[in-house]
Amino acid sequence: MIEPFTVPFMGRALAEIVLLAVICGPVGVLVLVRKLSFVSDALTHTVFPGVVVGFLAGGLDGIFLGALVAALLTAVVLTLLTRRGALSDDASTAVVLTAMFSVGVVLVSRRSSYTSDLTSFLFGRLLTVTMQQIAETAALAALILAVLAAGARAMLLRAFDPAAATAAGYRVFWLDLWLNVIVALVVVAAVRAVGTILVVALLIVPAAAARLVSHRPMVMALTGTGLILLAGWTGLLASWYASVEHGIALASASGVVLLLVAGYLMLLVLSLVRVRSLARIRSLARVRS
Amino acid sequence: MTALHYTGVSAGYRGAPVVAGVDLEVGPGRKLALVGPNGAGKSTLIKSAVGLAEVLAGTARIFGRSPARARELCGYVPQVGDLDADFPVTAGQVVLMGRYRRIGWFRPTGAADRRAAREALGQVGLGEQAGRPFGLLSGGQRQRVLLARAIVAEPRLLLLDEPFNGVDAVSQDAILSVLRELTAAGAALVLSTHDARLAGDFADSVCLIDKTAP
Repeated sequence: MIEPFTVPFMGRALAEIVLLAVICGPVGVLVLVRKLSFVSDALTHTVFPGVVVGFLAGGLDGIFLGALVAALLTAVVLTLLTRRGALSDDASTAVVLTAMFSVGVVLVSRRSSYTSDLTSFLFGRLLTVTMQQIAETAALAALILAVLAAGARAMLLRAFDPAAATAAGYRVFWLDLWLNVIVALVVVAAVRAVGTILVVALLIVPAAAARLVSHRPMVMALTGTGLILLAGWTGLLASWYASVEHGIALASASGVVLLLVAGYLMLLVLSLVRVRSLARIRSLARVRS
Repeated sequence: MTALHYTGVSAGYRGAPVVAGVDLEVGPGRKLALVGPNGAGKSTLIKSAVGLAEVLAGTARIFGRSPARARELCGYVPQVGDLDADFPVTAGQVVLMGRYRRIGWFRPTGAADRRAAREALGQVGLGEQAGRPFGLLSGGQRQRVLLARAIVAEPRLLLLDEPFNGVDAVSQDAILSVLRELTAAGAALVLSTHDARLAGDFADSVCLIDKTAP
């Protein structure tokens, strides 16, 4: 179970997943309670043209900067568009998502290696993560955790009761921008490893699964992180054994996401069983009394 | 100093007045009830005192300051129906939210904050419910939790928006009892209700509001 990770590229992939788990667990909870799943999805798509432009300008090293600029730009645009309800959150998000994604597709389709480039941008390359990428992800993770730690309480109050947050003196617009920028940074941190499409799974699925077993944000954040670690470890192992032992090509990032979804389904079944058992115990208690 | 002093105030949203020409004065330890039909502007008036609605004309002063500069002196209790019952948070955590401003951005939540939250929850009669999910409480209990969240910040002016809507008799009595204790200790109080009899029995003064905006 440990041996495959002694191979350098597997060890680096696991290290990248650990870093992503540490940030995606807590950020996912805020995304869930602020009902920003669609915004996160939009961010993953709008980063795409940034990734392409960065790649065209600076090769693989340019992807990071391109993604960062595109993500921060989108975070600001989305926060401004949804301010004061000028547009509904869904409509404005959809407009920005489709516009930016189309630009990305147009740009990438001009290259001769169109198909392989598109695949790597959309689904990432977890097994080719370099030490430099891990260092960049670690720096971003430290930054994200620092700004999250400072703002998490205020963001939680804003998500639960925006009127009370305003009455307490918080600027809701800045809190919204703050969270959108954090989500944007998470997308940038994860995009090269798991791609623009699958990164949303790391944000949404663990938090949604954790919500099934807890009603405490801190417990949900830790559960989410634990789920990503578990799915990351088992997903990489499954991908290794499928490829090395059985000659079956199993994309590692997709394996991780599939296991995350499996974890969500297991917790869903468990929570349904628990609810039914509790209801049965209560009805029996009523009959006896 | 007067806790709340409104002179010829028009209040509303995005430049459009909902209520106009209001004069109000509430001193420390006094209870004012705003009474009127739905849509008359009671909630808007309450919200204007904490910056949730705009003061479009007239002069609004909270302890001699503009509403935007007096937020730390005010406790605001919203209508419980406006909140998401499925939000993952316990009753104790909701009360603790009332301390967030005081805690600041960088200091971790301390033992004193948690103790204050427990005491506030005990004060509204829900000391045993701290660990329960907020959404699993009854409407009346949720309203009491929101009251506890406001009083944990030790406000000098308490503003409650329809605190008795959909609230059972036990919770209503508990809320009234806590409000009497707070005003006896010197806090000023403004609440809105459409129950004129309750307002008359409880408050020191009653302000009747009808549709006044053009």
